[in-house]
Amino acid sequence: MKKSSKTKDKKVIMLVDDNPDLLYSVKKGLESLGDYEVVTVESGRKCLQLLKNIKPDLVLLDIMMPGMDGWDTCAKIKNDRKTENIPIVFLTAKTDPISKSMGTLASADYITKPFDMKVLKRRIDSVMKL
Amino acid sequence: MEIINMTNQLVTKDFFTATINIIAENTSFNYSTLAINGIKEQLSEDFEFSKSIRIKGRSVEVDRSINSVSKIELKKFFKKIVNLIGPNYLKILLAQRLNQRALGYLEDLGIKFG
Repeated sequence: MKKSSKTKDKKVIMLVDDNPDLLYSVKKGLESLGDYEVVTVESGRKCLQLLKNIKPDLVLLDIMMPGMDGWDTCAKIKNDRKTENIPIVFLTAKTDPISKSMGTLASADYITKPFDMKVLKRRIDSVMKL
Repeated sequence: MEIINMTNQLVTKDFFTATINIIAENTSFNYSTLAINGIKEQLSEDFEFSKSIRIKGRSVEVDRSINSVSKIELKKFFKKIVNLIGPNYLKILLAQRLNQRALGYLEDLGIKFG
């Protein structure tokens, strides 16, 4: 993905969620912190299509989405040699302990909604330093 | 508990099949196989025999060579997997899912389910 000179040092985050309000608020919140450029996508399938052209530094992925859910989207990203190294963080309303436990088996982190933007930033930064 | 006719090979196949199904029921089948293959790879340095376990689609294949692995090593291997996945839930779900022979064999190895 080509970045403008203004954004060349910013980390690119792909945010995948079927909720347009969340896409808008998280994009706005993260970009206001200054370190990130956020690309929003409303489905798992579109995320996979977009990853053919964009290599983000991290994918923030909702789990419960119509069509391809976050679990399958994560598996497809990790099973593709071109995208397997992109860190994935689940961003989800699924707060049950089993999902949390399963969620970190193949992803870098698991964050439950609602979340504080500063906490989200801290967790994103922590994953990207790995 | 009945553990006659159970071998390392059979119990490993049963254990992996049950674990994949448990994870798949809570996530998706593709995610489950990805996660289990990741764990297997993570443990392959410490447990070389893990290479004799192959997950192909929905089937789990285990080489007979695993029968020569000591029970102590096999116990360590299973314990690591259970701990990586989340011991509390996985043990409960495995106890519900595994047949009595496999459960007995695993308990005989020293993995407690109750």
